[in-house]
Amino acid sequence: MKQDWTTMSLLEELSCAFGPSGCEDAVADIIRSRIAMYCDEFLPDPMGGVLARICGTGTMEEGAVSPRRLMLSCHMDEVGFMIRSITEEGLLKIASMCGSDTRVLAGRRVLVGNAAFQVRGVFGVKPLHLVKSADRGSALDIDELYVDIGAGSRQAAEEVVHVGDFGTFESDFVSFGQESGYIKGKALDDRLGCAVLCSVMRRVYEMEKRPACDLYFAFTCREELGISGARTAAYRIDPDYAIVLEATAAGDISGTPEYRQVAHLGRGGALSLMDRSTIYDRPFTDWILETAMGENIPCQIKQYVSGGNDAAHIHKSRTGVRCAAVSAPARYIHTASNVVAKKDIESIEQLLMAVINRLYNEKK
Amino acid sequence: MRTILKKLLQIPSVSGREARLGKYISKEMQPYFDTVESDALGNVICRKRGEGKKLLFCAHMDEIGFIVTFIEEDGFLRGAPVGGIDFHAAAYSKVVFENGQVGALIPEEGVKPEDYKGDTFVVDIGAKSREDAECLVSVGHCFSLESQLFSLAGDRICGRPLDDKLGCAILMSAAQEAASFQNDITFVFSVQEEVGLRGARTAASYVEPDFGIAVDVTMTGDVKGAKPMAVSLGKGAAIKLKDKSVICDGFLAEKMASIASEHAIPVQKEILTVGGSDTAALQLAGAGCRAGCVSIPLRYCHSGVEIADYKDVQACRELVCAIAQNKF
Amino acid sequence: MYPDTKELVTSLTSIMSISGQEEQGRETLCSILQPYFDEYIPDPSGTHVFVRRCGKQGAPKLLLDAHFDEIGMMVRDITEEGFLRVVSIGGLDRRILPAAEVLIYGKETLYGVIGAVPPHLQKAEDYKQAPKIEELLIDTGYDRETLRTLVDIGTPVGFYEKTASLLGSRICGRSMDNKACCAAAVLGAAMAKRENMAWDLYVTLSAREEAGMASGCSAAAYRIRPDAAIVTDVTFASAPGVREDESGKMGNGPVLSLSAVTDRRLTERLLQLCRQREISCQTCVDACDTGTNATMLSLVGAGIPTAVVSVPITSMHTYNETVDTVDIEYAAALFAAAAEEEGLRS
Repeated sequence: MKQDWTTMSLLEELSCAFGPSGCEDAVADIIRSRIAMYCDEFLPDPMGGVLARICGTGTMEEGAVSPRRLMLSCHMDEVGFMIRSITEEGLLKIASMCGSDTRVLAGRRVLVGNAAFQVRGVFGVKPLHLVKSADRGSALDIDELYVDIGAGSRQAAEEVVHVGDFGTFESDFVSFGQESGYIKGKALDDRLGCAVLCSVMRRVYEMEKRPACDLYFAFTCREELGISGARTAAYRIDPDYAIVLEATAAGDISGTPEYRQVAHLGRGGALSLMDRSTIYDRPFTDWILETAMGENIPCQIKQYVSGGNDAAHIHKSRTGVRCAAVSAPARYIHTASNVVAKKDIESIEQLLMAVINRLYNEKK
Repeated sequence: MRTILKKLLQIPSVSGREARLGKYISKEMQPYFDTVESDALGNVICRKRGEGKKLLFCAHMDEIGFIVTFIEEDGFLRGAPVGGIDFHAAAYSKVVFENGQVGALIPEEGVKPEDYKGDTFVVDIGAKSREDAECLVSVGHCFSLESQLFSLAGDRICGRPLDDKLGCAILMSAAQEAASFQNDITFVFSVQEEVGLRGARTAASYVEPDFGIAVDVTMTGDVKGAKPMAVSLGKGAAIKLKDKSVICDGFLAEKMASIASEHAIPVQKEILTVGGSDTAALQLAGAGCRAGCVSIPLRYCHSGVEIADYKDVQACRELVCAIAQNKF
Repeated sequence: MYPDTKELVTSLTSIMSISGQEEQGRETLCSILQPYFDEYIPDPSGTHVFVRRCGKQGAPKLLLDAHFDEIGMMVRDITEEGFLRVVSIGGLDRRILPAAEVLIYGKETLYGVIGAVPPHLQKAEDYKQAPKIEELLIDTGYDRETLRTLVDIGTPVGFYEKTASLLGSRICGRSMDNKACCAAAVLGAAMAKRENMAWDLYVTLSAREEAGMASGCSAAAYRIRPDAAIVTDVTFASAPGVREDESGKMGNGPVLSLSAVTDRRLTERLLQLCRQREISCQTCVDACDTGTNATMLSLVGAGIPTAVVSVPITSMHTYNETVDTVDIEYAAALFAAAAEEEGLRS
């Protein structure tokens, strides 16, 4: 039975799903249901991640494990916040889990609740008219922010939400721009990685041949908090190679000096050489780059040292893992309006397929 | 040992780019060990099987440097620091790329020294345009301040990067005594210490030692304006008790001190309030081990003119050998 | 027959009416409001005038004014890389603009995102600064050449957020200031029973209030020459950081202004009507200025006695202004009662 979804339709579904760090179950459920028929087994993950395996040639028997294991990893969680307290008036005070930039929160529409149930709210803002003119240029302090769900009293609020509940942006999935070539949504960092990996699993599974080595697909939790589920996933899988699929902050906008633009939308997946927490395995990265060039798949090198991702933990797992990272350039990450180019998502999927296909024919 | 050190200084090894140096060290270590392997991150792991406890000695191969992140239209290069670069010490210096290309590291005009950071520096390699530059270097190439070594008064030597090629030289020289080692001994030449003690961690996970001992440089309290610190140049090997990343194993530190006194090796106790070392990674990897560090006193660490005393280096070598020969 | 409040607000907020652009939505507006009025008079100022007559010869004229315009932006420049630069129209709150979503009303309506500087280019202290409007870039996903064929200098830009429900009877979205009050005025006109009406009711959905000129309202009033006027606009609802005595409580009904610049007798009459008809309402002191069209309106011609009836909203001048539809309905009930009250001015 073939499932009726495309990378893009799955991305839309995943982007709209509720999954702030620590509350990824709704996203995990979608992913599990989409890939169940495209993998040989699920591995247990106490951290709440989804770990799936596609057996390589000759490792189909019970208990057999290929000596060579490739791990493909992405993270399910998105930036969000947690309800810290509920005021007498029924307003929610929050603890941010998405960094210190409150400017992208104020005024925003959000969803609060848990994996099963959420209500809509708004980050209320003291009207500009009542702000001293000297302060109108200052961003709001996190302590000034509150979420209004329309409750009117603490009691009414407590009927639907609780202290400790999670929250994240509410944001439409929008196709826009030239030839509708761009998409905007929340959590594209890193649901696009999740969608691409699901598609790759389907394509690999539907091929006639088995891959040359065991493939492990890890959909991890809590990457945005830095206490990564990838760490424990890598420990369980014990791969010798890993590719991390991510979104990287693109600075290709007017007024940014070229050398700080990092990566450009539309030029393909960005391969990292070094970021703030990992120096990537150069021969492996070069091999991927060479694969892309051989197949004419657009691909770029990330031209700045910034950020960090699950590779931080994966490459130091156990006795070390040769790690590479492919990121979709994304503008305005960690806001409700991530913008990515559809072309880049396609290029990344193609690239991963080319990498896996090449594994069939040669040993790295 | 000076010959070994000279050779090591000739091979560039910015964090993440230690492969060439690793290859050289592997070849040199082959005669002295049962196995010499290299792992996924590029650590060189040299093992001599033996009775008794498993001891791991670790010196890091990598040095601080830069990585090219972008090439400007007009041929200037942009780079990001790899490891703890002191831009005041690096400004207006000659830099050398892995392929031998040289250039000058220059702060942008008008940037005040207190605002020095990666983004305010460029490298001028004399290229007239981006095309011109791309023939010589590309994004991802690493470079560092020129390596050098010269003698000062007495037994003192000056140059870079003595952090931690001195440690590597000490282990390589000590390896010549490998026949006399008791215990099950592993020498690890680790990668990526300068960017967060990454290599030592995976190497220690692989070896699972009972005792892990780093061999790395430490600062001294005897330079002008230094914070009070009870380590001086020329007073012998330093036995680390604590730095910012680790509190060393008390038993091991005492054992090291008593071994030193048995062999009349000059030692001093070290408490470092800034900086870390592979010791921390050794201590925490896998199920953990008793960890310590033989430290080499070094002045002006991470500059182009690091200064060490050869007598201290000798003392460190003797201490490493004595520990390896001691029955645990 | 009268419309559902939330539906009415939703359809009014979906009409783009950034100050100076109020006439663009005329056809849509007329088709929505046509069932509730006898006559539509376009005013050259951009103000839309809708009339509901009582059918009595020589009846006095009551003007019910709600400004129809909304805050927004206007394209100032297109950069080399194809991003738009804008100026603000009305008091835009720049603390909430990074990563906000917008619609650009060019030859086609384009979607866009207001650029936010990527984190690796920011210092911690930058997070404390709201960006200046002139620094903002709008990302449309088009290259410069194509964009120039679709967008021109002066193209209006508005927020994207559509009306959505919160708990209970509360709704949120863009332009509740002042579409919530437009809805209250329309609903009030629709609710007034013609056989009881003592006044010809002129509802002016006026232009250019946010541009600070009240010119749309004054011009229309000059032509209409009403005998009395009620201005309905939004006011601050109680919320953190807002003083209780300068705000109204959401859900407790419209807020009547006690001010030196409004007509106190008219205001007292309206309060009395609320008591008679059991319409929830509250009062608020706006000593010297109501911050609405009322000041200018009362000075038109030989002068017009004017009262101010406000609907409380939170997060004013953001793209998620929040309002309780109950307050809109109470205000509407009051307007209907006023149109039926012969002795409104005695």
